[in-house]
Amino acid sequence: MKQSKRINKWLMFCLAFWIGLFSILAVLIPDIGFSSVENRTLASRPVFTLKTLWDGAYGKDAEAWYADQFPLRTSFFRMNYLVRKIMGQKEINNVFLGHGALLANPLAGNEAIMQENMNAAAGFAYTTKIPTSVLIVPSAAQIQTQKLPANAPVQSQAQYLQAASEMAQPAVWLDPQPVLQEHAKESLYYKTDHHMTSFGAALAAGLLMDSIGETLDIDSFEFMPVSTSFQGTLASKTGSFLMKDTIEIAVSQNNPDYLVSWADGSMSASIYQSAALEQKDQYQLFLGANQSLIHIETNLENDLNLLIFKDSYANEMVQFLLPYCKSITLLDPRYFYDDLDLVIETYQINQAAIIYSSDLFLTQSKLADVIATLDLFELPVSDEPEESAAASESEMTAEETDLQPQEAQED
Amino acid sequence: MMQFTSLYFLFGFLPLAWLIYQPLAKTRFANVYIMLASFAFYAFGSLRSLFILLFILVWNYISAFQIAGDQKHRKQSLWICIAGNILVLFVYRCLSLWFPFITQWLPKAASLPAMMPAGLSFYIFSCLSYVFDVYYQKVPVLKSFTNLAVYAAFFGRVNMGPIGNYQHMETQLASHPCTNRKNYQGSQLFIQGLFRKVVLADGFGQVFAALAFNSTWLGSLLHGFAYFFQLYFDFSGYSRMARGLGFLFGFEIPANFDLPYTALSVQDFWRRWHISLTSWFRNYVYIPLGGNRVSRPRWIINILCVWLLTGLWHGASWPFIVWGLLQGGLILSEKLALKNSMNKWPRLCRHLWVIVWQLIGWTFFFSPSLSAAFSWIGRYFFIGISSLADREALFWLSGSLLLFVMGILLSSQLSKTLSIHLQRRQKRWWPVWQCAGYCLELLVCLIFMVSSTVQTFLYAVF
Repeated sequence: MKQSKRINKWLMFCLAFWIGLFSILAVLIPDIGFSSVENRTLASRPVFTLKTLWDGAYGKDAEAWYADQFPLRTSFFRMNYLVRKIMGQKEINNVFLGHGALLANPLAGNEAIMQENMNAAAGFAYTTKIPTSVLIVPSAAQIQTQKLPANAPVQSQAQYLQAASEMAQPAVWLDPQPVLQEHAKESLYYKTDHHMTSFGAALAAGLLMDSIGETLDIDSFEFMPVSTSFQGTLASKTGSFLMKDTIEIAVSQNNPDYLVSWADGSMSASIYQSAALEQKDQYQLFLGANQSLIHIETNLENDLNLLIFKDSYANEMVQFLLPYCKSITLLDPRYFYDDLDLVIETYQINQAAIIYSSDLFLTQSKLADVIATLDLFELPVSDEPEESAAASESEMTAEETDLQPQEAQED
Repeated sequence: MMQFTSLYFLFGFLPLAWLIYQPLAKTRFANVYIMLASFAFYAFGSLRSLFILLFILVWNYISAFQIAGDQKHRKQSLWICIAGNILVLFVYRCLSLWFPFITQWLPKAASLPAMMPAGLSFYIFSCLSYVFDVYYQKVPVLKSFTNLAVYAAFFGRVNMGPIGNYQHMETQLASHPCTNRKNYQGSQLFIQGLFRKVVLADGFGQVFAALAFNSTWLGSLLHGFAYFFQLYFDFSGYSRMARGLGFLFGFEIPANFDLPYTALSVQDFWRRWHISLTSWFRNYVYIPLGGNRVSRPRWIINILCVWLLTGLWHGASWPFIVWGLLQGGLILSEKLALKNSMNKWPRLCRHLWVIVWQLIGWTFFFSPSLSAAFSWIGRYFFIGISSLADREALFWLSGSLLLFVMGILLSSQLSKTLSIHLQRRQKRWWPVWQCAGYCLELLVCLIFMVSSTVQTFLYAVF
């Protein structure tokens, strides 16, 4: 009985100590503005007004502020990952805790948005008469299925991508799945980030160059590790802290000299922003943070002026395109509000590509919004009835296949 | 509203409120302080809600005086008091739902259910308990408004109960000293409740949400059982926390759950689940209607009436009404048709009887419509399934196996048996293990609380 009483006192002491300690620390420790682990701005102390107290907004904001500024928040977040792993959980925040990798579950596609984007892609090629390729990169969970936990219910995007491929004409649809699947056991995607590694990007870039009529020789690039401490967005989403990635850059023996004009008007002689290696999001090494327009002018003598409508997946591919292009213009529709016609005219664009992750392409229509601003924008019209359209499609396929055996023979 | 599982409450409001209370506990300001702290807690959710709470308290405070003072019209006074309370509940919960045309004239009426003050049904029922007890002359009328406010609006239970029973609380309102034993028990109960809510209920909530569109047999069954456990740990977790807070401020709030999933009949289940609500309906509806001391048809009507009201208390839509009548129907069938034969069933069969019927009952609870409920229930019995199992169902089964094991352990006698066994074997070290266990539980809760966005309690909407 005496022992039990003593233990009761110990328990009370322990609880009071921990609760008291954190209560005091929460008051004493100054507020933090940004969490690099969560990659977001943390809530700040709410302003008290009678109106916010009346409708309950003050209470909500105060709770959010207290939770965001709680002492050792990041450490608790990381312990959460461990505890959930121990409990057998195989998914945190829609990210699968796979075998040696974190894999984001692809987003559910939106058919209307996919149609808008594909109409924009086809309309761009039709209106401008610029040869255009569409390259949509699937997520790791769709390619490296061997890394997924058993029975992982991966959201399928296949039906949307299949439908998109059928809507591409006169743009050219590039399907990276076969080539990526061929190398599925290699390091195609980062373990802690949703982006592709330089090797994965090289495979995708090779596909793009094939469609342009050039052959990308991966062996001519030297892959050089520049960081071994990269923990990407998937690590942030789950709280994982044990896995780390190596970032490699690829430099070609035939790399031209080039000049990069950034969205803010500044210029530099490198596509790599090495300062990013000192910060949380080291992926920004490749062309920095998202920005509206980046123009790269090389000293090559050819006439390939490539315009890429892209999200961040294209950033890592650019290093493989440099040896082949006179200029590369990268346009991120999420941030671009200027005149698209002017961009095409100024940089004498004669080749275009749309490079997106499947997640963004199937869920966001900013691409369509930007392309729709083209002067005289129109969709490719087919006044033939459906059956004859199908017939002409099959004719076109026949024509293509007429060509393909020759290429095959050359192979 | 401020949640017990929010860091702001656990590391801000609670320690501060408790520390300030310690020197006041033995003074005459103890209840005044608890009342003010409770109002501050409630106002934190929204000041507008506090005004409604104050209105309800004042209304019942005055009504009780009226009932006790005017012997001639006490019945009318009681009905007026009930009508006032029910009207407020009706406006918030049923008006726009039952009479959607009202929203054409009063567009704001559409948002009334969302604007309902937290715990409205709980504190209205607590207040009515006081008024009924005064009416039946079980207790004298309260002169102190403070005591009524502490009884009905104590921050430990204003949001989600347990519903107060005034007669039981009366003596405690006069004196509720804080002792070491109460502090120890209160802390234990609070941590147990926190663990049940943060780790178990929210964990089952994830499984429930993930399988919401799964139409396989295994997926549907897992989805149903995830809710089965989520609801139990959510509400019993909250009730434990409320009791724990009561103890920390000197009140001994009776248990609201007594391992209901170990019940051997549906009647037994309702003696163990949400005990405060069941007791309220028994004391203030069933017994005044005549209870079982009436003719058999009248008794059947009494039972169905009580369960219809219980269903309506939970929600003003058809699934809740059907759920309530189902419970009433099951109790009647046990009392009339199964009678003594049920006692001869093997225990396992009796457990299964309760579990299967409660699984079906909770399906009405979580379904947005009757047709959706029947679809889910059909799938439990292989009707309308797309297949026996799919990847999604197997993925969540394997990922939540430990959670289900913990759920079964903590909702059955097994945890108690295990604890007693360990206590006997580890006599010397048991208190140390216990102390370490509670500290670990708190740490895990803290990890989960910091890492997750605040989740709302399921029962807060009732």
